[in-house]
Amino acid sequence: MTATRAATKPRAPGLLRGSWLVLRKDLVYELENRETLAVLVVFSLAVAFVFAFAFDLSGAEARRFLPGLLWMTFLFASVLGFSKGAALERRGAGYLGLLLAPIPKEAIFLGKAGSAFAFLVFTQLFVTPLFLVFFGVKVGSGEFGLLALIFLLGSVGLAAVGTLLAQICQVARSGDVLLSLGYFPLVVPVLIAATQLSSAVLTTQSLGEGPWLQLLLAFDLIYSTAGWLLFRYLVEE
Amino acid sequence: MSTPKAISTARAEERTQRTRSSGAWAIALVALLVVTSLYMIFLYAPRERVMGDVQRVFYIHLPLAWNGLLAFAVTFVLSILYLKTRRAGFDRWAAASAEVGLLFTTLMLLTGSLWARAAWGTYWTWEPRLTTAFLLWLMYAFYLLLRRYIENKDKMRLMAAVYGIVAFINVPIVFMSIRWWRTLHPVVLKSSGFQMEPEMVQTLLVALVSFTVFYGLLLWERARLAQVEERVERLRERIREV
Amino acid sequence: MSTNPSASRANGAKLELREVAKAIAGRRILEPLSLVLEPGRYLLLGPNGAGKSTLLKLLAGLWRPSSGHVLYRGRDIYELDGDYRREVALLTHELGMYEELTGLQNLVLFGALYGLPRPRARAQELLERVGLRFFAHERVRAYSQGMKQRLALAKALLHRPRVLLLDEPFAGLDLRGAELLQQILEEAVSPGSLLILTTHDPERGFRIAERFLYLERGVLRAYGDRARFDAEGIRERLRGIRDVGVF
Repeated sequence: MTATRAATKPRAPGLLRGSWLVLRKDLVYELENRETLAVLVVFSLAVAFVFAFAFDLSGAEARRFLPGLLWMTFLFASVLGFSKGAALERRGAGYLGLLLAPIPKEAIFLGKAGSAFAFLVFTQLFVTPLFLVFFGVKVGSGEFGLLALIFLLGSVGLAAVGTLLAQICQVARSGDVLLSLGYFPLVVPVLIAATQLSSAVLTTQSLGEGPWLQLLLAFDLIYSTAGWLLFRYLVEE
Repeated sequence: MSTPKAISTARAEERTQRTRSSGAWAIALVALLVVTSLYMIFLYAPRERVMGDVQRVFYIHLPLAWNGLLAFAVTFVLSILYLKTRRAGFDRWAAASAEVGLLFTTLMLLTGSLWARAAWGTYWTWEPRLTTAFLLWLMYAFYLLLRRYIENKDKMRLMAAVYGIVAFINVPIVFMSIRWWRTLHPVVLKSSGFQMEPEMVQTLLVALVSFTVFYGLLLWERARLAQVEERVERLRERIREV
Repeated sequence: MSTNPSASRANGAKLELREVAKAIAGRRILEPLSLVLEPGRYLLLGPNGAGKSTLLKLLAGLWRPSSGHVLYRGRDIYELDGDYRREVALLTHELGMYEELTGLQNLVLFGALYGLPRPRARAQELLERVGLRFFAHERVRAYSQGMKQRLALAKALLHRPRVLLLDEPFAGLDLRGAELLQQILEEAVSPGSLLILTTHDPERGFRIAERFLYLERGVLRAYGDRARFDAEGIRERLRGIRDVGVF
């Protein structure tokens, strides 16, 4: 009996499958509730409104300020996304279930970072055209491709740092407030590199000469690795 | 099967681990070094030709900056050690170092600001080193804040250790990014360099050594205080149980 | 404690504790404990704060011991990692699932996380078994406490664990629920597997379990079978301590 049992006993999911299951769970939840997406959409609209009045931009000036405005919006929106993602695990102690499941702890990090990344990309897809229209900036398809590359690379770093920090802050009192306090100083390099690159694209139709792309890649690499190595300490008791 | 050899051995461990007060000799040493530094800074080092006496703040500013960074590096190393060993002592020292480091960084920003006013005509400029220092301040203020906001001590230590690592990794990245950012922009303000005379170099070295020893003393005392605090807390728990 | 010949199979789910201790924030919750748990059904008893839940979490591999090791079939459970975790289930007062997903979605998710070949079929089977078939497509948030408890039980049984750890499984269940639980446990616990449950109701517990462990202030004070339970006067001790607790 024990032999057949051992033979039929299915293998536990590996890293990739585990991460995918964690990520898919967030997406399924989101498709049914549209909680985070609704927050992100309303938030972006409100921000666009505020910026429009605060800066009163048009023409070349708008082109110059747009990258900064976009990335400020992404940063603030991402904080909302991270606290939502952490809250989802807290209610009903879903984390407990994940920790008991036979998947590597790294899969939980990858899954959560993946879903944070997906929300960021969604925000960018929604916000960027909106801002382009609101501030009357036109971009060609070549520029659009470059911007997409920058946005994707920037989002990887933000998702890695945010997932790590959200996990740290969710055990604290007023964790959401703490999250934004801790998050912004850490992602300054992403902010600088991404706005520089975006500016270069909007003004010169190229990625410019600075080492920004390398910086962005290095940041992504370093913080993905850090999250990968350190996450297991954050979920243990 | 179960061995309740419990509490008496635990107490004995506690006693041997207790950090002693640094004692009179250490304080005397620091006092001697501080007095020597002050003498050298204000009397021994010659007056700088261009900036005058204001330049003397530099002898304090630089050691503060150096020790702030050193303190955060110590926090970084101790955080890693804590994650590896889970010994509360490492965490205690990491926190103590971050606190001293934050104090030094605060003073460094203040002295730097005074210097900048005299040298560059402005209290603040988004210069790479200043900006990095400012971000360091924010990150380690957060580190200390985080520690106060987590109830569960074991969790708090783990979270703080991870953040202590993540924050320090950021230091070189931030510094490089800000440096590139600034050099690609027109730099309006340039440091007005001055010639270092031998007496100046000597003064700087003595001040550097003094501040580093001073850092060590503060670290030691702060860690000891933290340990006493923990023991008080434990005693309070025990009273509550009875 | 290896005296039950019917249960001790060569390939049985045997847990061994070697000097396992747990301290949380400097407070010792569990004193160093060495113990062998042969396959069988155990009742874990003790007053509040005795360390019962802590012991279960340590056995489940959810909490890491401050010192010592937990061995499953002779190997450290942290070494086995996923290989151990898919053999074990822990039921606590926390749901351990997603309140915003439906009962079925939760079970399918966790079935997949445990690597089941057909998670959906298995999930439906278990929902049926715990009497939640008609609530399969409802959000867990809308479940009553008793329904959540049943769902948690279904989740615990999904992957046919050989080590089943139940912390107060009867809490929040009505009479029918309790009877159902008892029935399900009798089916689910095959010979060679290990069941440990905590309860405040030893009578009910002994209808499932055959032996007991009695913890007090993090120390194992007594263990044995039903006769031993009566002889040691554990019931009176439990009652006495609870009365003191009322003050």
